[in-house]
Amino acid sequence: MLMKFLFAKNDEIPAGSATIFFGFSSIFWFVVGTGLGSFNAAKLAFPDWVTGTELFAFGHMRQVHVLAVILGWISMAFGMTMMYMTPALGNTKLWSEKLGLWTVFLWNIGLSLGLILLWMGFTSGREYSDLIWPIDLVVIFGVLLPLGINVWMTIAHRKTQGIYITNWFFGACIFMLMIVFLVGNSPELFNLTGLTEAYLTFWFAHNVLGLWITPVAAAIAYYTIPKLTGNPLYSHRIGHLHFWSIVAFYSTPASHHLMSAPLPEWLKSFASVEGVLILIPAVAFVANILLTMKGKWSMFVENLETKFSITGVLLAIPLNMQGGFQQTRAINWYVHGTGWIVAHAHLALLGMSSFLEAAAVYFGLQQMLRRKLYSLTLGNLHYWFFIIGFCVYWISMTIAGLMQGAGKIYEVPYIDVVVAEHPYMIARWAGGTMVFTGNVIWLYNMWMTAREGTLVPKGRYAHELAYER
Amino acid sequence: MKNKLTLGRTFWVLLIASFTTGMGNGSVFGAAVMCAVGRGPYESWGGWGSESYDPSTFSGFVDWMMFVFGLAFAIITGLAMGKHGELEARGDNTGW
Repeated sequence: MLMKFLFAKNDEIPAGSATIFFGFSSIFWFVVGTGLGSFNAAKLAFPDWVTGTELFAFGHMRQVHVLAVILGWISMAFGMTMMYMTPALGNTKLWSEKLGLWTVFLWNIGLSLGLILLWMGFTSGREYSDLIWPIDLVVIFGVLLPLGINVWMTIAHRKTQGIYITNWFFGACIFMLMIVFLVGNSPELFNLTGLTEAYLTFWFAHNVLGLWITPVAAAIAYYTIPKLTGNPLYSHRIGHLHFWSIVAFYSTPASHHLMSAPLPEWLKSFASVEGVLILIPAVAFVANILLTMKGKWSMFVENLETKFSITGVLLAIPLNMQGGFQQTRAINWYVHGTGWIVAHAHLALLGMSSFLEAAAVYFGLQQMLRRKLYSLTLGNLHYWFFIIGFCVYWISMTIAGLMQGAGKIYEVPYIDVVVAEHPYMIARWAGGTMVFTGNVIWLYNMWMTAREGTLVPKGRYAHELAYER
Repeated sequence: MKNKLTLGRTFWVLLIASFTTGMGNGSVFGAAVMCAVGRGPYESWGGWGSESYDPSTFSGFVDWMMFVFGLAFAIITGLAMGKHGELEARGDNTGW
């Protein structure tokens, strides 16, 4: 069906097609990404698991997991939400469904190619910006630019007077991510080395998180929570505070990832202060969403999408508390290079961000398919597998990280720390595997929704109708 | 209308999602305190088995802070949920 639409006239393509293909692609990549995560975690928990084959070595597999989740699941879920939220908020239709479909097509092809090359060992060798430069150019000009053109043109053709805060984030974050990819990959494009390379590597890594993954997830919540509850956003002005404080404070603190590196001290101090200032947009976002829930808190336990969304918002609290303070010199000295950081990264990507996106994918797919979710039981099962698996993962990794940090401070022999943290590695694998299992259930549930979900009448929202199963 | 946010209905959501949220805040507090206090004798690193849950050890103290903050956050959120449930049951949408 995708191939048929790719060569059809734009007007002949049903509205919502790009959303649906993006949605299913994102869930597919979530299954792949968490499956790889579970495989890699098993290698840490059971060192004899799959040995002797170079391709399945941890060093080959780890970055494939990371980028499958970031560029597959999270970014495609963003693409999906942009395809339906941007036009809805402008009271118009998507500028080009055809361009949207070409974007999702090229995205899947480019990502598959990039990950296979990465798996085979074609890598820049830089964390997060591991892809080789030709694939970086595909991401910039084959994925982000067409996505951006569609979003920017849809905003430009809106039939509303103002631009809602979600679209501010969408439009700006695509532009900022393109800059991040161009500048952040300059060590490879221009063969930069030394401290410049280290700084730019983490300028890229930090900004992919700070200017793409977390703010766009927050932007999604600014749409889903008012839409689900029927309440208007508590304050659009506080949303502006969130937006501008992200742009002002969170685009520059890259060197707080390199507090032990011989970078200029003023730069590290500057970055550390900027890092603490993340608390301004964080408090603005969390307070704004929680206050929007006024009078509708019962939906937190009764409505699946709201449950996902509010869990994501709650997880934004520890995320930003940790993020704000773990990069100050004292705490960074304790936790740097330990499992704490791995846990924190998962709190951002798998916790806060993924829960918000899952809510939006559930909501958007039902709306665009005009079908009610096939099974609420499977939806709830997905939620509980996801949240329990995540908590087991995050708690075990945080505690293991604290032990590693204490071991570093106490100068405990490295191998003793490895032995001591072994039970936590098993817990990490169990938690990650629960998340993966939940995602397989989700993919099945959404597939069945597309095939057999109860039809939603025009003018109604799926979540307004009672479940038939 | 009846209160839809009783402890029975919110317990598991709060225990998991809310407790974890509090634990994150506790981890930062505990780590900051231990950085200020500094290390003790070699035996107090708190890595072996149940020593990680002994608050007199370095990492055990931080773990305890995580659990204390987690419990506190879950209780605060639980009380707030109950209050919201009462107000929503009364249809009172003003003054809070």
